[in-house]
Amino acid sequence: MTVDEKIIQGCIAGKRRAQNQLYKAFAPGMLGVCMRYCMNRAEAEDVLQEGFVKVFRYIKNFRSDGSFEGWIRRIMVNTAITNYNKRSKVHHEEINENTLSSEDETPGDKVYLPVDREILMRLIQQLPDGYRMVLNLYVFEGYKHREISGILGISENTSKSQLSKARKYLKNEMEKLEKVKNLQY
Amino acid sequence: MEEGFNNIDDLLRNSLDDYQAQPSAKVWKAVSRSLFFSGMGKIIILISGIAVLSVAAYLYWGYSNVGETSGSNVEATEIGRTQNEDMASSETAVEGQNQTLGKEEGIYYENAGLSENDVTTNNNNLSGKPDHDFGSPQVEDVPLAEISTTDKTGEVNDVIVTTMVSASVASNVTIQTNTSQKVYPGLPRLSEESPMERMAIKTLDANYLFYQYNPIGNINERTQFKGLSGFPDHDYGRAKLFSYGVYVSPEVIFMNDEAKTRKLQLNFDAVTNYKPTKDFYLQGGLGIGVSQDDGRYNVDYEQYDSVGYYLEVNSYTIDPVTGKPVFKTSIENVYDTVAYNKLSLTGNRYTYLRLSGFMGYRVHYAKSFSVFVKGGLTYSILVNSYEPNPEFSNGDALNLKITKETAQRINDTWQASVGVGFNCRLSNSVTLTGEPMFNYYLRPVYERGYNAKNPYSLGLKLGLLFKF
Repeated sequence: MTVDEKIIQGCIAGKRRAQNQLYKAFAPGMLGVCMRYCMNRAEAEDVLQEGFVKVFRYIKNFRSDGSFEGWIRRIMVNTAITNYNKRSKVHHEEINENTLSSEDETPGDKVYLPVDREILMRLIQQLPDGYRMVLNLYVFEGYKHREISGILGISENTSKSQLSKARKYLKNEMEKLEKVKNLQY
Repeated sequence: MEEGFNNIDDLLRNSLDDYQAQPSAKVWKAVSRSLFFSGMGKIIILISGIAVLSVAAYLYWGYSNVGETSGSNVEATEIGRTQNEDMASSETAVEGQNQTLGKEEGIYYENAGLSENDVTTNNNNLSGKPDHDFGSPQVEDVPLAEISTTDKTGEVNDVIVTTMVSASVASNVTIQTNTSQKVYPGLPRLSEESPMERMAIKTLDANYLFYQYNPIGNINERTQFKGLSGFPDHDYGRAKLFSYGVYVSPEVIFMNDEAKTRKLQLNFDAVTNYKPTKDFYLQGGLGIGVSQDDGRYNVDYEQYDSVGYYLEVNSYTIDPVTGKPVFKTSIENVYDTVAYNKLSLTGNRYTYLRLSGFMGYRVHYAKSFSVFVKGGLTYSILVNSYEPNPEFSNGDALNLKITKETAQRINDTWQASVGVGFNCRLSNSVTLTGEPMFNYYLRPVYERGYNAKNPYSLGLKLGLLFKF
C-alpha cells in the first residue's frame, strides 16, 4: 500500500485530518497483525492504539527510502512484543500441556486444505502467549530462532521448542476441524 | 524437522498475512485523545476552559456591543454601521424613498434595494415601544461618508450616510436629514476635520446608531420610526466592555511583629473586568493563595545524661622520698536526669480562597500603554492547612513533651489593597499587566494574643487580560 506523501507531511505537521487518513488506510491491516499477536480482539485494539500513537509521534523519523507500511508494521510488532513482555512480567502464563501433545511431531507431506481465516486466527489466539509470539515472529516476520531468542529473552532451544509445539497444536486442531467437517458431510 | 511443517507455515502466511479487521471507532478516539494530551493539548485545554468560562460569563452578564469603540478603531466611514444587529435586520423606509435595508451588514454600503422613488416610512418590523426611554433625542443629519452606488437605472448616485439615530431611540423619533452638518442630539456640531471632534464622533458612535441615504437631488427627507421593537431590553451603557484575566502574584508579608518576620505568599487569581467607561473599571476576582509559614514547636524532654565526674581513690602509696601519699584514682562519671529544651521548626503551608473586588481608574495612556491606579478589598478564607509534625528522634528521651508554639491562623481575613497597574496591550484582545500592590490586612492572620498588630504586604501582580 502506498501512501500519499502529503498525508505523511501532514502527519509530521501534526494535522489531525492527515493522521485520520493515515489511520484509516492502515488500521485494518495493522489490526490483523495485532490480532495475531494478542489473545483477543480487545487486546489487539489496545496494541493498535498504542502503536498508532507511536507512529504519529515518531513519523518524522521515517525515512522514505523504505516501505512505509513495513515501518508501521514493525512498530506494531514491536508494540505487541512490548505488550507481551509487560504482561509476562506480571502474569506467568500457565501452559496447558494437555492441549499440546508432547510427542514428537512427525514431518508429514500432508497438504493442508484452506481453513477459514477467522477460525485460523482464533486458533492462533488460543495459543499460549509464548508460543504465539514465537510462531508469529518466525512464520510471519521471518526472524530466525537466534533473533527470536534475543527479542523475547528466551533461549534458542526454547524458541524452537515453542514453535514446534505451536505447530503441533495447530495441526491437531485443524485435524479435529477436518474430522468434524467430514462428519458433517 | 521444520521443513516437514512448512505447509502449515504456508497455510498460515497465505491465510493471515493480509488479514484485515476493522477496528472499532473507540480506537481512533483513543489515539486522537492520546495525541492531543501528549502535545499542546494540555495548554489548549486550559486556554479553552478559560475561554469557555469567559464566554459563558460574557453571555450571562453582558451583551455584545458590536460597535465597541474603546479601541478607537472605527473609521469615520463606519460611523453609520449599526450597533445592533436587530436594528440592522429591521426594515426601514425613508420618507420619499422606498428603502429596504440589508438584513445584516451594509445598511448603507449596499443599497441594492434602494429606489429613488417613493420614500415612504414603512416600519413594518418596528412596532411597539422599547422598554427603555431616554427621551426623544433631536437628531439631525450629518454627512459622514460618501459612497457611490448604482441605482436601478444604472446611474451612479452618491449615497451619503448621514442620518443618525440614537441607540436609545424611543418611539416616534423624528429624524431629519441634512447633508451638510454633523450634529448629535444634545451635543454641539462636530466636524471630522478636527482630530478631537473626530475622536468624539468615534466615541459617540458606540452609543448612537445612524444612517442616511441621501440620493442626489433629495436632501431633506424625514424618517419617522414608530418604535424599535428589535432593540434589546437593556440599555446600551451596560456591558460596554468585559475583559477577563489571570494573575499570578508573589507577595511578601511583613508580619509586623517584634521579630520583623516576613512570609511569602503566592496568589493565583482569575478576574473579570467590567469597564463602564473608558477610564474606569471594576474588577471581581476569584483565586487561591498559598502562604508559607514556620511551624514552631517547643520540644521538652529529659534524658539520663552525664552531669560531671569525680575521682575515685582506688589505692594509695607513700612516697619514700617525700613521705607524702600518692593516690591512684579513676574517673567516675556522674549521671542524672537532665532536662532539655529544643526548638523545632517545620514548614507550614496555608491555602486561602480569595475573593476580591477592585476599582481602577486609568490615569495615563499612550498608544498601547496605559497606567491605572486601583484599589480594593480581598476577602481570604482559609481552606486548607498543612502543618507537619516536628521531626524528633531520640530513643533516650524521657518525658517528651512537644508544645506547639505556632499561633493558630484565623479562618478568614480582609485585605485592603492599593496599587498601580501598568498595562501593555499586546494585541486587540490580549493585554499584559503588571501591578505593584500594597496590601494591608484589616485583621491579623493569627488569633488574638499572639500578634496583635496587623501585617502588611507588598506584592506584584502579573497577569494577562483577555478581551473577547
